[in-house]
Amino acid sequence: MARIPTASQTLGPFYSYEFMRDDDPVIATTKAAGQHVTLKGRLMDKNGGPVREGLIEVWQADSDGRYAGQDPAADPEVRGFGRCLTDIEGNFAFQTIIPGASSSGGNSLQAPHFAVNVFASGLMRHVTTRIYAPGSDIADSFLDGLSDAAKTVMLARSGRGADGQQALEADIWLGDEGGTPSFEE
Amino acid sequence: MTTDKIYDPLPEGSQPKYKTAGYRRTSTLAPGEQMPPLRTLTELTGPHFETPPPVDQNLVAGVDGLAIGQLIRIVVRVVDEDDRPQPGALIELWQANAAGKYQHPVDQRKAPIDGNFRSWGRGLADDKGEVVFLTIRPGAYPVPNTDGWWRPPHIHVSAYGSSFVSRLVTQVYFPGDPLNDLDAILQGVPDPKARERLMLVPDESVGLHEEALGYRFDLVLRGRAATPLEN
Repeated sequence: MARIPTASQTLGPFYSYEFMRDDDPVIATTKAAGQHVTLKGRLMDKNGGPVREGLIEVWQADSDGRYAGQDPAADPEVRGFGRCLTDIEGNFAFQTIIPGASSSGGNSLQAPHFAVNVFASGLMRHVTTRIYAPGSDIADSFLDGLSDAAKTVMLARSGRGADGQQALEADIWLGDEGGTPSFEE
Repeated sequence: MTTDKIYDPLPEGSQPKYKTAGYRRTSTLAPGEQMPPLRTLTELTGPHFETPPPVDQNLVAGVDGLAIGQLIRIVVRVVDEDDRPQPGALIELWQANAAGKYQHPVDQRKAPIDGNFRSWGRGLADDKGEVVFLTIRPGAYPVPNTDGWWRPPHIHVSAYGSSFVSRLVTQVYFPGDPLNDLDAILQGVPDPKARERLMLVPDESVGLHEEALGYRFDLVLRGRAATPLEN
């Protein structure tokens, strides 16, 4: 019997802090292979105002493009998943590594990327987007098909974190005026 | 192969629109036109979680006794679009107490706090796809800075299924509550049948005799069984 997926409803402002563990924003441990980075940015609304108490979730491959739970050879130090509640200024940050190019599932490769789900009070359904690591020379048909404006938003910028570690910065703009491109469900 | 999974388009009206009348905040967050979904290995894989302790499924056992309110026992059954149970799905649940007050710093409303009630729970679906929670029926509460909008009693539910695309956050409601028809968030789901599916289903067979009312809820996540690819 085919069943219709349950309707989404907004996260609301009261998602319990008790769900959040200290290592939730740790996608890869310090022992993971690959280039270690802080993945960070701000979650903003249409007017550029901060969105606080937003839940940002990231799913990514290890440095060889393998996914935890799917490929037995995947790096055990890369959980692949992390989540972070945005602070009062909309900031989020993850400790991770730059993923390798991963399989599309078919014959082609995808440029290194982070899959992102965004939840917030006032967002009736979550928003799904991607953040791409800069500097990859992989021919990626999806990325190549984007407008320059969309590509600029989805490509992270290289920077430095507060601790001096290399950072990838990518802000997530909600709203319908040039915001971060997102995918239908 | 995970890549053989079929994801049908979601039926019209079965999901809320991002922009919802009567809920002002949605207009500053709603995305514009969206791109067609990606269904690569990235989306068809996802995280796995460890089993939370059983105590996390009991929200009413306080240090000084039972929480105040109508005790309810909820059996959440997690399935995919083919009605297959989803063992290992992580369910998180959070809600207000019987007075409509959350244990959360953002809730600044003056309302009674119940020290014996814990406003959150979590559990992993068993082989039948089920997680059981013992809690109370939450109270209604007013939404600040609105013209008299009160949220109907509801319980927030978050689910991590088998893949990144099966992720769901929703709210479940109590059938027949008069506030349901006035709630912008519930009414933001256009199809009445889809709203009906957000109602808890009374079922005395899952209650506790002379102690807790029983309810069932089927949580249907994105995803279908692997099917052979056509040539």
